[in-house]
Amino acid sequence: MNFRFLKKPLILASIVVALGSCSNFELVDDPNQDPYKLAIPLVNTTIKMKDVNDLIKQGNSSLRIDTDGKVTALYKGEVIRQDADAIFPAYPFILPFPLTNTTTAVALPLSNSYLIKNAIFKDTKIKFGFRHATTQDVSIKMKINEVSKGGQVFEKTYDLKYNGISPIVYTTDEFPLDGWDYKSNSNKMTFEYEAKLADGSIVKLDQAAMLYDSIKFKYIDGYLGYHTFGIDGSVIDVSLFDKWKSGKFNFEDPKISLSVESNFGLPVRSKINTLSLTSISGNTVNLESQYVTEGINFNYPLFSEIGQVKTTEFYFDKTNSNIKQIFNEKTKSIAYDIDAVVNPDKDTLNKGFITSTSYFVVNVSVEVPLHGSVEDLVIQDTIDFNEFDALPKEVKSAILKVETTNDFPSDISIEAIPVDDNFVPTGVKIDVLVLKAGTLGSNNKTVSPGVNLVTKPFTGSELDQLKRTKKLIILGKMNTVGSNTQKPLWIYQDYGVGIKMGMNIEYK
Amino acid sequence: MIVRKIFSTILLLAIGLYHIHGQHITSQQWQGTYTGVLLHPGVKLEKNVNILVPDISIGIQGQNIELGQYLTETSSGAYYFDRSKIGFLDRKSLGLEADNQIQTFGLGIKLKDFYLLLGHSIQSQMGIRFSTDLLEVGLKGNGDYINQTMSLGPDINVMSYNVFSIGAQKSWSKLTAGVNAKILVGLGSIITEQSKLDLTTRDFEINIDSDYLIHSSNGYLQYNGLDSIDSDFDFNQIKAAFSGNNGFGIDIGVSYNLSDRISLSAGITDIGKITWDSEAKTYASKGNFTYSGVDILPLLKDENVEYNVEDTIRNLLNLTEEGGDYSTSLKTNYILSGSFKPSDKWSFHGLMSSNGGFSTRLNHLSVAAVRKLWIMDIGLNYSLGTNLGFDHLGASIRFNLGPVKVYGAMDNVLSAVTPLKADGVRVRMGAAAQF
Repeated sequence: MNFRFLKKPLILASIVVALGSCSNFELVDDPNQDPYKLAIPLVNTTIKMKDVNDLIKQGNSSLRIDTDGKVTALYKGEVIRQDADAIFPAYPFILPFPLTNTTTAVALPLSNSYLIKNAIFKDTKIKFGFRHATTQDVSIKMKINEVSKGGQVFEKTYDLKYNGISPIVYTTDEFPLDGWDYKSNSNKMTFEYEAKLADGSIVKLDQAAMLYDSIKFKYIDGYLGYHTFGIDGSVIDVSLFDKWKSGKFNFEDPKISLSVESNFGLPVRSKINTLSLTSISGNTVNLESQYVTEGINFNYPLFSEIGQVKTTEFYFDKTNSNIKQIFNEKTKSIAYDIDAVVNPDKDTLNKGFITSTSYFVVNVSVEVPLHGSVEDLVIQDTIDFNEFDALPKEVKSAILKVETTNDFPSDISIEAIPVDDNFVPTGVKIDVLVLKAGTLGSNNKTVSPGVNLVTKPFTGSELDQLKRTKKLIILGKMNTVGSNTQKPLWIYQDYGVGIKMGMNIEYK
Repeated sequence: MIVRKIFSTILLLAIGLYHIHGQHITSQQWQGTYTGVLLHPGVKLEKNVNILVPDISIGIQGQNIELGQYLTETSSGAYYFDRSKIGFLDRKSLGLEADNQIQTFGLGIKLKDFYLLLGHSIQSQMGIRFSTDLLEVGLKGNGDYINQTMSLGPDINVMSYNVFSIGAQKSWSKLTAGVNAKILVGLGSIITEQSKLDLTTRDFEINIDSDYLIHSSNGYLQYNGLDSIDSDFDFNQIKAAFSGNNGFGIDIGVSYNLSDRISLSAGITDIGKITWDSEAKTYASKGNFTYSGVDILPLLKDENVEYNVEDTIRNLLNLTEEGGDYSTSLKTNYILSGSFKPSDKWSFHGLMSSNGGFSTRLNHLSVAAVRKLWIMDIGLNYSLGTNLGFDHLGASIRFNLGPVKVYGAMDNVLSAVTPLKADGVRVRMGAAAQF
C-alpha cells in the first residue's frame, strides 16, 4: 500500500514542529510494506429449482413443477400440425363439364374411398353456359337435386334473348354456393334443366355446361376414406447427460410422451415408423413396445361434439416399453418418425366428419421425472475463463471463504482446474464448492439443508498461477443419499443451493 | 480501492488541517501595542498611532495524539509511517481543535480621547475528532477486524472567514474599555452535524450503520462520488472574500490598572454568527445497510442486468446531497489576564482563556516572565491545557527597534528538540509600530 497520500499533511505538521529545529525531516515509504487486509463479501446467492426455468434461455428443455412440488425435466420435440386441407383439399375445376342431357349426373372429384353424405359448401362458385340455334327467346330453369338451402332445392332461371343472331350463346354469372347444403349417397350432383322457347315448346339445348372454380366445404361427413398422412420425423435432443464423464444414473420413470390434439371427427391411429434412442456413445436402440407395433388410437370428437378438441396423452414408459433400460444408458437424443392413419380399420360404415377449421397437432416430448438416484456421478465441462487477469498485481495473498447450503439429498462437490490455452494445468486447484447433502425426513424429502464452510488460502505464487488461467475445467461429483442401493429420491421445487462467498485479500 | 480512497480522503482532511492560535500569552506581554489589542479590544493602547502589519501565528495541537506517534525513524534518519504502531492504540478518540488569526492589518489611531480601531484578519477555526478505528481500517484494512464494529465517522469542522473590523477604545482614568464590530465574510466551511458511521465486517457481510450529516460551503468539501471526495480548503486563500456567507460579530473588553505596576483585563471575543449561503450543500447518510455480496441469480436470469460493486457500495451509504443555507455561531472566547511589573526590567503575566471549539472548549492557563535586555524583551512562558492535558514551556523575543517592534514566540520549545514527541506547538511572529 502506498502512503504517499499522508505525506502532505505530515510534512505540514513536521514543518511546524521543525521550525526552530535544525533537523531535516524526510518522510519515506514504509520499508516493511505490511499488507493491507481487505475483507469483502463476493457472492450471496440462492438458486432454487423453481428458478431454473427462468435460467433456461433457449433450447427445448424446461422443468415442470407438479402440484406436489415434484420436478420433471421436459425435452420437447418439434410441434407438428396438420390442417383439414391435408385430408380434404380444395378441388379445382378448370374445364367446363358438359351437361349432355336435360338430366346429367356429375361425379364429385373425390377418391373412390370417400363417400360424402352431407356437406356444406364454402367459397365455391358455380356458373353455367348455354348454346342453342333458334330465333326465339329461351327460358332455362336449372336445378341441382342434391343441393339445397333451408329445404329448398337449388333452382335458378336464366332468360336467353334472341337479338337477331343465331345460335344464342349465353354464360351466366357466377353463383356462390356458400352455406348451401349437399346431401347424397353417391358422391354426385345431378343437374336437371328445362328449356322453353318463346312459343312454349320444350327443347333440349344444343349445348349446356357447368363450371365451378373449386369445390370447398366447411363441413363434410360420411366415410372419408382410409389414408395415411405423415407427421414426419424429428429428433429431440436430451442434454441431461451431455457433461457425463462417469458414474451411474437411475431415473425411475423416464417417458416419451405423445400428445395429440384433434378436432377431426375421424378415427386416427398412429403408425410409428421410427422411435429410437441414441446414447452419448452413439449407440442407437429402438424403443420396444406393443404400442409401437399396434399403434395408438387417438381420441376424436363425436357428431355431438363438433368443434371440440379432443386430446390424447400417451406415454411410452417403463410399464409398456423398455425405455427405462435404454434411457438410463445416457440417452443423448430420441428420433421419431410417425404417421397418422385415418380410418385405420377401413370400415366404410364408420361415418366421420371434417370441418374447414379442423386440425391435428402432435407433440412428442421426453419427460424425465427427477426421481431416482445417481451414484459416483462425475460430470465435466470446460469453460473459457480469463477473469483472474483482473486480480491486481498488488494482491499478495488471498483467502477465499465459501459457505454452502444444500437442500438436495445429494453430496455435491465442484472442482475447477485452471488451465492455459493448451489445457495444461496452471498448478492450482479451486475446490471450494463442497455441498453436503440435506438431511432426509421420513417422507424421503430433505427437512434441513446441509451446510458446509470451506476456507481456501491462495499464496502469491498460486495467485500468479490463477492469472495464467485461460480456461477452467469444471469437475462436478455427485452421490445421492442411498445411491449404493439405488434409493430413488425426488427433486422438489423448493430444493436449492445457497452460496456465500467472501474473500480476505492482502495487498502490498 | 474505493474504501481506501474514502479513508485516505478523510485522513487527509483530518491530519492535514493545521491551525494558528492567536489568543496567546504574548499578546498580554506586549500590551500597549496593537499586538495587545488582538487579545481583546480592551487591552490598553499607548502612543497616538499603532500599526500592525502583520501578525501571524501558526500552531497545531493534538488531543491524545503526538505528532510523531505513527512515525518510525529509519537508519538514514528519514521517517516512515509505521502502520504497526496503529495496532497498539487503545481505540482512543483523537482530535485536533484550534482557531487561528492572521491579522493582515491593524490600525489604532488616537482621535481626541479615544482610539479608533480598524483591522482586517482572516480567521479559521477547525476541529477534527476521529477514532483510531478510522486509522486502523483506513491504513490496515478491515481484514483484521472481523466481527468487530469500527467507528469510522470523523467529526470534521472547518470554518474560515474574513473579518473587517471597526472599533473604539476609550480610557477613563484607570479603566479602559473597547469594542470591535466585525463584518464577517465566510470563505468556506465544513460542519459535521452527525458523525456516526460504524462499519461491521463479518465473514460474508459488511454492515454500515450511519447517521452522518455534514454541511459544506464554497466547495470546502467536494463530493463527486465516494471515490472522488476532495477538499478545496486552503489556509492561504482569500478567495471569494465578498461572495456571500455574511455574518456579524463583536468583541468587547475592559482593562483596569490597579496601580502603575499591576493591571487586569477581561474580554469576550467572537460573539456572532455566519450564515453560509454560497454553494451551501448538505450531505447525509442515514440508515443501516448491509452488503453481503452479489446475488448472481438476477444476472443469470437476464443477461441485460448489469451489476457494479462500486455502485452497490455507494448505494449502501445511501448518500444524499441537498442544497440549503445553514448558520454557524462563532466560537466565543472568554479571557482573563493580568500583568505585574515589579521593575522596569522585569514583568510577569498571566492569562486564563477559554476558547470556543467545535466539540470541546480549549481551556488554557498561561504564565510568562519577561526580562528587558538591551533592545530585546526576552520571555519564558508556561502553558497548561487544563482540559486537554498538555503543558508547554515556551519562549518569546521582541526586538524594540525604535517605533518598530519585531517579535517572535514559540510556546513549546521542547518540540524543537524532540519534534516527533510533541503533542502541539505554536509559533508566532509579527511586526508592529507605534509612534
